[in-house]
Amino acid sequence: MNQLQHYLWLLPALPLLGAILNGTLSLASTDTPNGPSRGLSGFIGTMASGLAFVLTAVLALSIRNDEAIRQVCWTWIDAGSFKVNFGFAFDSLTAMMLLFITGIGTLIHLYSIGYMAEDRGFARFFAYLNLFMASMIVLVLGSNMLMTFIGWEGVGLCSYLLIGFWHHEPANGDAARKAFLVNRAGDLGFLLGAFALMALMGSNASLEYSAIAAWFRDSANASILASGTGAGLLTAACLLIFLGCTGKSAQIPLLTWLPDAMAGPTPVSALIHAATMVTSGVYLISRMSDMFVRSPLTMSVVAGIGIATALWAAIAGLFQNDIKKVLAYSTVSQLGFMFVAAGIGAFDAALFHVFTHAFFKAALFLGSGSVIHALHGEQDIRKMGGLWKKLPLTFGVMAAGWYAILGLPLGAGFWSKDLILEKAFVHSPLLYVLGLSGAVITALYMTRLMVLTFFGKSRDEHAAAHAHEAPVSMAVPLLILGLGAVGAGFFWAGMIPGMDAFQVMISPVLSPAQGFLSHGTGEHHVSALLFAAIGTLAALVGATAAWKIWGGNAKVEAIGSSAPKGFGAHWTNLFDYVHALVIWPTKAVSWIFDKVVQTVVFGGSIALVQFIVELVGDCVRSLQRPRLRVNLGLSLAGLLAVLAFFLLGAW
Amino acid sequence: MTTIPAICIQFLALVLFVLGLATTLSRRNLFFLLMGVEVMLNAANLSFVGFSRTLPGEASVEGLVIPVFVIALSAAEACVGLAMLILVFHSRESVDADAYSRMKE
Amino acid sequence: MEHLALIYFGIFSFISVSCAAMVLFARHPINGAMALIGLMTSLSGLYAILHAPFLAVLQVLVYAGAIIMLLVFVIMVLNGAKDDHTPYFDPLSLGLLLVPAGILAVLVHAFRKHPLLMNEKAVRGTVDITGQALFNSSTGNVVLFEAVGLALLAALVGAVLLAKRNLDSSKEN
Repeated sequence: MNQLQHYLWLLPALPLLGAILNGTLSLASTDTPNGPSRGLSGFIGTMASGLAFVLTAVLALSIRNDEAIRQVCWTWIDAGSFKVNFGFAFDSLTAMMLLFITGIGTLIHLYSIGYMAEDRGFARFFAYLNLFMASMIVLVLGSNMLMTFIGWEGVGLCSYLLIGFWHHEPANGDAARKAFLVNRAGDLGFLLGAFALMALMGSNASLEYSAIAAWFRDSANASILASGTGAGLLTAACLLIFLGCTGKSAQIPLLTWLPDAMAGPTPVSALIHAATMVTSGVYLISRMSDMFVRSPLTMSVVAGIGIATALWAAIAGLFQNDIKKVLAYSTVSQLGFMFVAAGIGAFDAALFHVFTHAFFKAALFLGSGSVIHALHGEQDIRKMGGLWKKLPLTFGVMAAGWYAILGLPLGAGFWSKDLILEKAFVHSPLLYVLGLSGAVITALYMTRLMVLTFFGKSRDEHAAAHAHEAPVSMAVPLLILGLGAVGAGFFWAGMIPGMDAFQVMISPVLSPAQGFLSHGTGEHHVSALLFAAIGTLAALVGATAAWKIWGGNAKVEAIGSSAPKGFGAHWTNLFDYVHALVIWPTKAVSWIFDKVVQTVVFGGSIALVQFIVELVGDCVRSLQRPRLRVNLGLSLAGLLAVLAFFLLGAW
Repeated sequence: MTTIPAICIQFLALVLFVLGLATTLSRRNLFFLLMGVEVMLNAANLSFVGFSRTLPGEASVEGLVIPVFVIALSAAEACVGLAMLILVFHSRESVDADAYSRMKE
Repeated sequence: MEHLALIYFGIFSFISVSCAAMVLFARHPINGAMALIGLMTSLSGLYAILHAPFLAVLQVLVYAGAIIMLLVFVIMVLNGAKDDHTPYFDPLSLGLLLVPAGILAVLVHAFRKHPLLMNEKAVRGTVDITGQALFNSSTGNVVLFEAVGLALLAALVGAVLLAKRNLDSSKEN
């Protein structure tokens, strides 16, 4: 332990400062003809994020894996035995999350300088991005659930602001509101879950993660969990917190917002809706793994929801024609795989997939952004084609991302996805089969995306003729992320001895929970090589099928909007229909409240209060005399009353 | 040394204060209002001086410093108060406090 | 000699209480002002026997010398004799007297419950010691002193402004 704990607050403070500076710049430049200075606000934004990355790296290098540095800034809530600190905790799990959040965040800031250069709201964009970084850091760095909740709400707000960044388009505003409202439903679950947890812990209630983990690990509390109410509260707490996770991480049933969130600028989709924010649900479950493993029902629900989401979103991805929508459904599907891993107790595998997914999905999104940038805003893949000659760098990076997500040998997904499938097989072969078919469909839609975008004949000669490669500020992050998409998997290359830095790093946080689950079942020995071979085969099958269907010069008609039609549309909107089932009764109830409760109950009570106040006011007014002596005398009579109360009461 | 009981000084100050307060509250003449305020301020001063004798050493000086400020401020108060009195007297030709019950005009 | 201070205290207390009562009951403001002078002087004597000679001098100089002089001057200027038609005490005033009576009762009750003793180590409030305490920067009294100076300046300016408006309006009339 050293002096570094005093600097934890700087991690969120630096991006927050950047947000304030950029916000000021944005406001100050409102009336200028050219808008804010691109160089200055881009520099501030990128530096704020970059410094946070450097600080994270220094902190991560200076701690041992099994220690945590903590900083309590002040006591936030102090009510009897219940205390909440405004504090931060930095352990190996936090270090891992923060390293890729700030690292990829910085790269995406850099990329945005090029991508948003033409945009009038340049400084506003960077202010929002920096605010997002600050919120995300608080989410991961907070030492208790309430701190995480601040970050949780903060990233939700920034997501809302950034989805609706181009708010002149009404559809973007609708998408932003949808994201916000659906997330609110999840946030309610988070809060109620926290309350249920406090009720469960009784007199020792605390929201500090360390205290929660210690409480669940303490065998003295096992009897509480075994009792009827205890078990019920535990299940309720886990399910409600998981509901919060489904909202943030776009799982069934709260997933409809993520595809719509693609209305935001592409760097936002890459940073928030692929790499960082949507993985916070997986982070929260892992952080509270000691609680979740003690509720087998919830674990089954998590795994079931995960695999259902993975399959549903993968199939939905097949029907999309918008390049970003394909990637959005792909993200939902990959998040499903992460929840499968969490649900079967392989929290480290889930987090490893979070880690690798952040790289290759960011690479894919930024690549798609580069394509969109080159084609001046065209997002329909049916109108692309043959772009690999025009955009060699972008093609290379997206190919690396494609290679990684398919799980082809030595790519990032090869290590993380096969790890999940392997653990799923140990848990239940059915889960494995479903997961493997999900992988085949993933290969199918990703190859379709690549083929339609980059191969074959150009289907829109005019747009393709003006296509140009991205500027340097966009190319550098693309390259780094492309390399990451291939190389990130080597942090935990299961088959190669000694290449397990990732697992070693985060195991101190997760091993008690994972040890609790595997306790008594004994070690299963499976051949990792066999699973890798089957996984690779599945990916190749999917890719080859896609090449056969869409490859070559297959006829692809681009008629009307890029939204899917027919069965595809119904499949895609499945959960919007489900939402409608909830929304319709809500509307009915709110109509009743509006017309009946509002007018009769509230209107009546307001009129009553008004009447009383008027009556009292009239009475008191008659007392008031415009005389100095009377006013003074009455106020001194008040003083006399206070004096008498304290002097006579005290003795 | 002195044998004056400390509590007697406080009683004296209290009686003076109450007399000043009674003057301010019950007299209608504006001059008496101001005089009552002066009496109350002096009673407070006396109380401070009396309490300062109950403290040891350096701490007792503070009780002698505050009356200095009070005297200076009461001079300021009398100055402004009398100026205002002259002003309102000219506008209403009366020193009856109850005559000034409509300050808006 | 032991009892001399007590005798003086009795005399000065009697004078000051009777002067304060005269202020309360005086019919004409000039009588009240004279009683006030008596009160100030007797208080000055009380300060002297309470080992605060500096305050005693200040009391005579500032209160009896300056403030009451100003009061008497204003009474003369406005010709307080005009005040014959201002009522002396009315029923409302007598009702309001209940408030001071109540305060008196409560505080007397509080005093009686609490013992208070003279401290033999209290310093004598000479000019030297009081002045040093006044300008001792460690206690912050200097800042207070400057603030009081500012307040006096503000009062001066305020009085001038008020009087000026008065002069202007009388010119118009």
